[in-house]
Amino acid sequence: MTPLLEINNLHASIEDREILKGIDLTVNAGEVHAIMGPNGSGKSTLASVLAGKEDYTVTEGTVLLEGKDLLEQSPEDRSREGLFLAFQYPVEIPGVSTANFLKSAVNEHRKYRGEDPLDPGAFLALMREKMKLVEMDPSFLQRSLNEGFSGGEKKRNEIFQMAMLEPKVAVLDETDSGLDIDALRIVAGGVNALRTPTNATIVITHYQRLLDYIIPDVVHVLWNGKIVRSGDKSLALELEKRGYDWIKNESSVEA
Amino acid sequence: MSMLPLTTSIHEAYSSIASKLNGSASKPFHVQREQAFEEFSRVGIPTVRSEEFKYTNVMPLASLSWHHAQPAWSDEGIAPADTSLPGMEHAIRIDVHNGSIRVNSTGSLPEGLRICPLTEVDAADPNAAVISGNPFGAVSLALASEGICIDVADNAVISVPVHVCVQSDASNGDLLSTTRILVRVGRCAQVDIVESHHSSGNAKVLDLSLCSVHVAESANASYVKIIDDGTRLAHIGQVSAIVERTGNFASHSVNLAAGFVRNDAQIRLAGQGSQGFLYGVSVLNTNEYVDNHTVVDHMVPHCHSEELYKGVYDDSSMGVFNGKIFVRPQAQKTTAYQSSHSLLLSNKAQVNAKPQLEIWADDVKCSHGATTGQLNEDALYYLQARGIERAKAVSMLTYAFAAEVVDKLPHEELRSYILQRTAEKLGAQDL
Repeated sequence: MTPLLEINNLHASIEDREILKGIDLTVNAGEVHAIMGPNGSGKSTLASVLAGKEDYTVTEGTVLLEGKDLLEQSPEDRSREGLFLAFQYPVEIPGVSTANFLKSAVNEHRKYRGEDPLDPGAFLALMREKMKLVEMDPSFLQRSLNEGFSGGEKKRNEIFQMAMLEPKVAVLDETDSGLDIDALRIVAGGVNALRTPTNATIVITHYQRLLDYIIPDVVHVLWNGKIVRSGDKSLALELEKRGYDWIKNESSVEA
Repeated sequence: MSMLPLTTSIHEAYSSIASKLNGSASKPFHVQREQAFEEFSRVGIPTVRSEEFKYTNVMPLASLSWHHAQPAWSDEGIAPADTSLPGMEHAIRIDVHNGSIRVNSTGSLPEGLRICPLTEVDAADPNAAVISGNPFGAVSLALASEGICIDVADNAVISVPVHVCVQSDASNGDLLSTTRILVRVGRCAQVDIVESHHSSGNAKVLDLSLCSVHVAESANASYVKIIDDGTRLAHIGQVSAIVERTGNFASHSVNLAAGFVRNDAQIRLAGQGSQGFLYGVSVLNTNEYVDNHTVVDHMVPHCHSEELYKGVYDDSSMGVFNGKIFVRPQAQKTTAYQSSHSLLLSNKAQVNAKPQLEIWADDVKCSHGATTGQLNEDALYYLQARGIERAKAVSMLTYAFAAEVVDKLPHEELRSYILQRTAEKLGAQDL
């Protein structure tokens, strides 16, 4: 079976500084992968490169989403093909309501698949249903997208969008940062509810905490632009105990 | 030195009115007209050497001869115009068609509202001195053979807008149109005035308008000017308001299709606790041009003013914003906020913004901010990352940018219509 996501020898740089130095990662349907690593190791760069942020230049390597070349696609097409990035810092967009934004997004996805736009009634019902997953109040629908939302509300809104768009591969970029324990539980609950045997989730995080709620099948450690170690969820616990210096020291010995 | 053709046209139009006065020349209305004409004769047509017209070159207009559509009240000759604005169907209409003025209202006017020729008003316009300081304001004043007076009695709340619809038909050559309106809002009264300007025919229209508003104690008034016509129309307009104690006045300048527009909006906060609001939105493309000049004069303590102007400029369009705020020495505890934001969608589009604050009191809160730039790339990327086409993301964000000001418009129907027109102009209808 074709893996959902296949990253081979991915190198990427920003302003001539190489950040990703050969990433290899294969994610199959039904799996949850965690990518951990100290600050500056390239975690968020990987997320941005996958979603298609222009600031980064891919210098080498390939990324396939269900066997299709991802890197040659525009950010909007990557989304329509089933990739979803939950932003570490969701952007505040004054004047565009959450409802209108999602209506545009969902209907663009439908158009891409050759489907008719949802009628307003059905769309509203769908939004109300999905909001319950992350315990969001329907009043958020009429508010400007993320404007004045608290940190927790922004992250819940990201997972709500994920629920609306039903991606094949969701990349959660430090979704746990800035969350208190209740918000963390709600966000993780939403992510778990959205897991199916046909989709996959990549959880990027600095701390083990989130992985108590979203149990990963595989844990990878990213350091200096490369995955230096992979293992099962016990690796995350070991990192929590021993810190990242242990990995840094070992990988510099190997290097 | 020979006279500019426009100056000659103005002199001829003035003489033509003077020859028909029949002994009424001593009325306050005509005395003010005469003073305004003298003022205009003294200063003449401004060139770009004048600070107030630094970017707005009126010489192409001044080099043409114009036929003046002499304003006069009429009982006939105007069919209910098909240019009725959606959202304004229930308004009390005052039609001005090539100078011919008529109230077009089904049934009688609401209680407390009186609309009449300015020649029937004996009191002098308290704004006249300020208006005459602007050469085109002076021309509008001088050439108003008959003007429009809108009187709202004390305590009267007029719930439907009063819509002055100015149409100029230039089928028979270049036409000079002058519209002069005086609005007097009584104590605790309320009224919303909407002014729209339209043109037809093959020749050009030089469309001058002047609205002078007196807001009495605790009264509320708003004034909306809509320019959504075409390149035929060159509009130079002015609104000037005096606001008495605890009164409120808001001016809205909406420019959606505007070949050449110069708007002056001026508020004098003359009574304590009064408030003034100035809003403007321009959505321009091709070679469209809009110059907004504003003045807020805080004359007394404890007044509040707010100003928000936004412009979206595509192609080779151009905008000017000049916002003056005066806080006089006695006007302590003033709060005055001004901001102007421009979005440039093309490399050839241009905007000149100049905030100008003169603060003579020391216990005040005043701020101003002017930004000119492009759309936020992070916001565009965010929308794209959710599957929204970049071009559509641009439309969405641009529309949202402009809609912030349109949302300030009074009357739900008018607001929806202007939002819809804004979306159409930006190609964002299906959002």
